[in-house]
Amino acid sequence: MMAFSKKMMGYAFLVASLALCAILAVIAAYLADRSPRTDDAFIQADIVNMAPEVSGRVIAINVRDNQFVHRGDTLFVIDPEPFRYAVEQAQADLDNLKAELPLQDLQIGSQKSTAEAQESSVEQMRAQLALAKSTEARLAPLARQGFVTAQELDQARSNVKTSSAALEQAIHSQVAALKSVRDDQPIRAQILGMTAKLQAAQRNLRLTDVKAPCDGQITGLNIAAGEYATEGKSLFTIIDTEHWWVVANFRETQVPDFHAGQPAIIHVLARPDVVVHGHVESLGGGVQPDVGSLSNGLPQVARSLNWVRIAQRYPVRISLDHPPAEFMRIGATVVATIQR
Amino acid sequence: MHIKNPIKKITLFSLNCVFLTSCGASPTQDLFGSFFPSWLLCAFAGAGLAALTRVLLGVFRFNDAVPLPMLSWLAFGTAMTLGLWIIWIGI
Repeated sequence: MMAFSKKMMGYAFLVASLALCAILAVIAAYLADRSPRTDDAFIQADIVNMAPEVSGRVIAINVRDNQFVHRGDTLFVIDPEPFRYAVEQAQADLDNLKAELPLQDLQIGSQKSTAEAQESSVEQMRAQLALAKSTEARLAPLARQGFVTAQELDQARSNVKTSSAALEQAIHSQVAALKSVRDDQPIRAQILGMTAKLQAAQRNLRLTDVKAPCDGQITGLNIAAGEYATEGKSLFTIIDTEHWWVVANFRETQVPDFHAGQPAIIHVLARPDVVVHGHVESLGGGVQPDVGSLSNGLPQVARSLNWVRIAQRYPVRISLDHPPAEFMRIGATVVATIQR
Repeated sequence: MHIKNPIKKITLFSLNCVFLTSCGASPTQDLFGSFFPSWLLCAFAGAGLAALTRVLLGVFRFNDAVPLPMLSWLAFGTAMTLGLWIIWIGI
């Protein structure tokens, strides 16, 4: 009887174990589906490659590697001397042009007066021609009647021709005088151009003082004062510590269930007991595929017999709500769990 | 509180799983400088619990009564593993 009872208990143990195993497997699958998670995730932040906008010798570096800086702090200074000279040169050129402007206006006034005088001259010549023509008209009938000598009539006709030529000459002179009246637009345009040049020189001078564009931490700084800084070439990097987020690579089977705004829990593995809350900000739109690239103008397709395909992963960007500053480092490993 | 000693960590983890209904701990744990998934740690703990149970049942001469021992103990160990993992990740 005892042996039978033990045997029954043994069967009960087997059945209970199998049943418990099945029930717990279902519960575990449900929980895993309710809160998808991945440890293929890391912390990320914006970085700024600090490159000067003007070239020159660095005369002072006010920060050290790994130092925290605030927006607007001066990071390093480029020798301002040549830029100061450029400002002075541009200022002098501008002053010179501005001084020329009244002289130019005086000249233009004089040219306009000359043109007006030529106009009066034309009027005078017209009056002379009219007088000569009327004199000729009066003398012509008198000459036929013999009251005026032929010489006097010829003189009158000559006067008409002379007056006509003089009028033409006066008209040409007036046209030439009008054409020679200059405009002050060119010099005003030069002044505008020189003003822009001065402003550019002042900006370059201002840019010799390189300031932090955001709150952040200096990294990759391994230069000292005396280094020659080239425009556009990065000297070191600032990690923007104002905004942190997590890039979590989820399987393609999970991503369609996500949407912006879903709450997320982040465990920073440097301190797994610390929980950081966040929310899904956006979903990755694509990754570089393993196949499909072109080789010599043709698609490269590998011969394969893969029965098991590993799911592609897509980056999901999770914004952190209140990230603890002491654990925030770019590339730090985290576990991201999306709450559905 | 961060615990560096892996032995203490495993002990605390086991105690957590036994006594807490939902510890909500990190799904991955740092052991010996590497990150191990919680299911793997739960699998070790489940196998250990199954082995311990088998030893205890052996003391009472109950082992011979368990039919299909391989299947029985595998199912029991797997159930322990799943139970610990469910407690670990939180219900």
